[in-house]
Amino acid sequence: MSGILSLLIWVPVIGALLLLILPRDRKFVLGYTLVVLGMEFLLSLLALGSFDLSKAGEFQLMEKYAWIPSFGINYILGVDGLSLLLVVLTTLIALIAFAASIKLIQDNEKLFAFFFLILTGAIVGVFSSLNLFLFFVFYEMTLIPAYFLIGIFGDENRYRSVFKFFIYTMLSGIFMGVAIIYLYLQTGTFDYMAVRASTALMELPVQIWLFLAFALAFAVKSPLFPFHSWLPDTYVSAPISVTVMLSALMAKMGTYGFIRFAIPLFPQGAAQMADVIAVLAIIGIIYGGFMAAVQTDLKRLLAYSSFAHMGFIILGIFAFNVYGLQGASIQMINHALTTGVLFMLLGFLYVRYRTTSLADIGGLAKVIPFMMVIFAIFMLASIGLPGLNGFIGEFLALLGAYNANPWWAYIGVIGVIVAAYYMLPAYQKLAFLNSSDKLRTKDMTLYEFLTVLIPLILVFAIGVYPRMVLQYTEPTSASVVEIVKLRENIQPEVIEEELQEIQEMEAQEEETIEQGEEQ
Amino acid sequence: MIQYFLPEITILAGILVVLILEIVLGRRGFIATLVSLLFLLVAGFFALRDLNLISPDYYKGLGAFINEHQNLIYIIKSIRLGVVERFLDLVMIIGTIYFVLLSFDYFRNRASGDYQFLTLSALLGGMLLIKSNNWPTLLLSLEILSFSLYALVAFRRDLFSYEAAGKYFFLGALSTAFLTMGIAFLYLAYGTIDFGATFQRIYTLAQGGFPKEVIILSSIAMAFLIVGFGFKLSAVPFHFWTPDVFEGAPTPTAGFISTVSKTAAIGLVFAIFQGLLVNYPALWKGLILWLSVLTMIVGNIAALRENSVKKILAFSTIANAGYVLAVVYTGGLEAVKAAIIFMLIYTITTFGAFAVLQITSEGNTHIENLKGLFWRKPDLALALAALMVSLAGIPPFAGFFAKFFLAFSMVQMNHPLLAAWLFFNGVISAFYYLRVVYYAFQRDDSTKELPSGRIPYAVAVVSAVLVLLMGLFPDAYTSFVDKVFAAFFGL
Repeated sequence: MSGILSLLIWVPVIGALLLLILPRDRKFVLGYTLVVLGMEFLLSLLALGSFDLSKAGEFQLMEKYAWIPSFGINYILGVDGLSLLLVVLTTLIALIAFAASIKLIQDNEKLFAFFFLILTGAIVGVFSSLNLFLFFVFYEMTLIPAYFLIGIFGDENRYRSVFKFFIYTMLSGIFMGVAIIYLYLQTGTFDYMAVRASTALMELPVQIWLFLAFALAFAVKSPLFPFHSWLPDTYVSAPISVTVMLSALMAKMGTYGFIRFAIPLFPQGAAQMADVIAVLAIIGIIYGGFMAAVQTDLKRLLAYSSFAHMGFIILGIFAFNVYGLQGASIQMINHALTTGVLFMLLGFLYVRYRTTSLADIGGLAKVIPFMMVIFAIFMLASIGLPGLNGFIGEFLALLGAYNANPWWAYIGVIGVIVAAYYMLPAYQKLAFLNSSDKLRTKDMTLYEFLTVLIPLILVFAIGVYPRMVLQYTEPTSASVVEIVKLRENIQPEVIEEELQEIQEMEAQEEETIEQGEEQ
Repeated sequence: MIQYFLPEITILAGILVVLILEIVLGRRGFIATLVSLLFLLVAGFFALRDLNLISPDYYKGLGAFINEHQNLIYIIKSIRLGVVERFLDLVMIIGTIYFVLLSFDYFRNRASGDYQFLTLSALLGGMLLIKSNNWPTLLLSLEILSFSLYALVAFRRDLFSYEAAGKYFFLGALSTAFLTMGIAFLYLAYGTIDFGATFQRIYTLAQGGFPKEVIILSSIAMAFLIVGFGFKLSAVPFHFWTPDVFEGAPTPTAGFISTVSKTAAIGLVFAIFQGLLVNYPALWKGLILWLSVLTMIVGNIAALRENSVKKILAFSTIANAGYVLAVVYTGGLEAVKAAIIFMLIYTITTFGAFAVLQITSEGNTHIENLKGLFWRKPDLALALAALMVSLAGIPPFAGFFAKFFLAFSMVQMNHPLLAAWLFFNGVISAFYYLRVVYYAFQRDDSTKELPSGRIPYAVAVVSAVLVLLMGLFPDAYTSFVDKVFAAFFGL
């Protein structure tokens, strides 16, 4: 089944380009985009089916072509269990986010669909590229469609928000770009596996610098505490379906970047900085929670809540043990499902009431009871009610944090309480207080229910049987932990021995080559 | 002998032919444009053929020829030829093709023989300038380029055009005066007008230590030269003329100054400063660094507050000159390659943007004028978006690779911070490039009709597609450049 990852990246992009020459008719454009995204989702299921779970730790479905041979840049795609799940998640979220928000796209559907499709393809590219340069290209490429989607279709503050978003993300990418070039000049390759094999021998200060260069980019994307100020404005200004993409998928690019690149490439550097980052993540959890508690607009509340929950993922990652990383991995999926769908539900509310402010709407349990039930389920999943998916992830992440440093868990767990503290009153107000006859409207339609059906099933399924996700990510988590453990306590003599071994191996290779030539 | 200079000879022939045609046929813009294009295409073909033929021996044959006939053809000793020069020729020819196409749309019948004569002369001046091998040739070809440009700036024959030409002429003449002064001091210091001999003498002196009077003289010379070249490159703080001249000049001519004339200046600066600086006291090298660092940031920051699209492009020109100047400082073979690729991509992108400007902003270059472009001409707006995003250096467009290769050569020569500074400036520039796009995508209720310029329309769309393709398949040109360089330097 090789070639399927390329298809996953390029089907939406080509679909977008084709769209430019197709008719402008609203129904046609929306239908066409849904078909393309649906195909994309089916393709990703196909990839999931052809993935060999018994080797989930290895990269599969590999593709390798020379792209810019003169700079040694290859087009390498491949997924392991973690990135495969993220790819499937991407196609799923893109499909339902677009489907859920077609009523909100007032005009110029064509342009919206064009950028939306390109964004989808680029995100899949980020999750599946195994060449540092290619990764960087896709990573930066996601910016353009996001910029236009927010800048053209956002609310009245879009101009300010989109520039803030753009400047934060681009500035943070600078050092990663330079670091990637530096790595190439040091190791002679952009290929992930080859770079990973050779960075371990770098000196500690160099590792720390390189780690920081990568970490800055991912910290802004995730976002980590002091780098988050673009987030609330951008999430609020963006059209709902783009907010879903931002919170559910693009935020995961940051945490995925930590797990895939920043930590395995520079394990010693990461180990040195782990405490700092974990503390920042905890601050983010608490701070984001309290900020969410004082919001009166549901969209802004969810934006801060999304930010706070991302803190658990980062905390889990930097615990550097299997519990923490497994918790982070499964929480990446959970967060996308719950936060994504909560934003979609806000979209449904917005279609009905043209507002998401808690001051204007309330007591909806009487008016639209069914939608409020769905809302409650996802809200409880987001808070981390046992039995639903959010519980597993946050529990594992905190368990990992406890093993690394009990204090992280003691303080981090406050964040779980804070989440209940802001979510439940908000829901109470939304569903039960201040009901008014003016708010009478149609309950959730079948179409709307269908868009949230798959996440709804998954919320229960993962909550009851988390192994269905964990078995995919386990080898990846274990290998990251192993790399860090292996390198953390490493002695200089061991490095020198390894260096010598590598040199001997190279010498041997050269000899064999020479012998071959002589023959 | 002739075989080595076919592109130059073709352009020279073109100059004569367009003049004769003007006399025979009278004012015929269409025919003159066609003829001019034909000669440009032939010259471009010869330049490409030259590059394809290159083996390490190809230009060595030229060197041997010069040595054998030293007394016979003295003039040849003043010309130096190599792959770098040929590549830059190619870039300049491409830029001039753009220019001729846009000019025909802009001037119609008035773009006849005299206009084409000026165009081709400017190109020839640029081509000779980067190949000059001694100071008099340099000044001579520089004047050919500059004087043609003064006339081209004034060609619209209205007050704004004259004003711009006046400014350009005055500052151009001033900078030439500085250059001449610098050259005189250099001659005093080293006693030769030949580049090769000058570099040789500097090299020998560097081994044994510079005598005091040489240091003083050459320092004064260096100061004058930097001012002179600074003007030509529009490097900060000698950049003030650029936005004014752009604003008044006809749109195609502004494009020409921003691309072809800059390519020539960059080629020259590369040739001279690489030779001069290698063995020079660190002070002067540092000066180039600061010049480039300042040029980038000042150009970009000034563009932020600008509301005229033409002036934005002028400041973008300044900033881009800064990017290339930075690799003049870091040096190395990779830097030369990167600069060539950068200028090629920059030329295509910038001229594409000028083509859009020509359609949308005739007589009024205010950014508000772009409002609603998307709702009237969606493909033009998308082309503009692609070009601007490329200029901002965001993948997958070619502009990203242009910057990436520059940064690559910087990191390779151990200047990672300079590379970060380059990317940082790219981010700042994204602000104003995307601002232009932002306006184009805004809704506008007025029913203003756009002029239906078919040529600039095609030019813009083709450039945008090219920029995208060059971004998706960079190997198409990098491998060619690599191959030619490897063949030439015998790597």
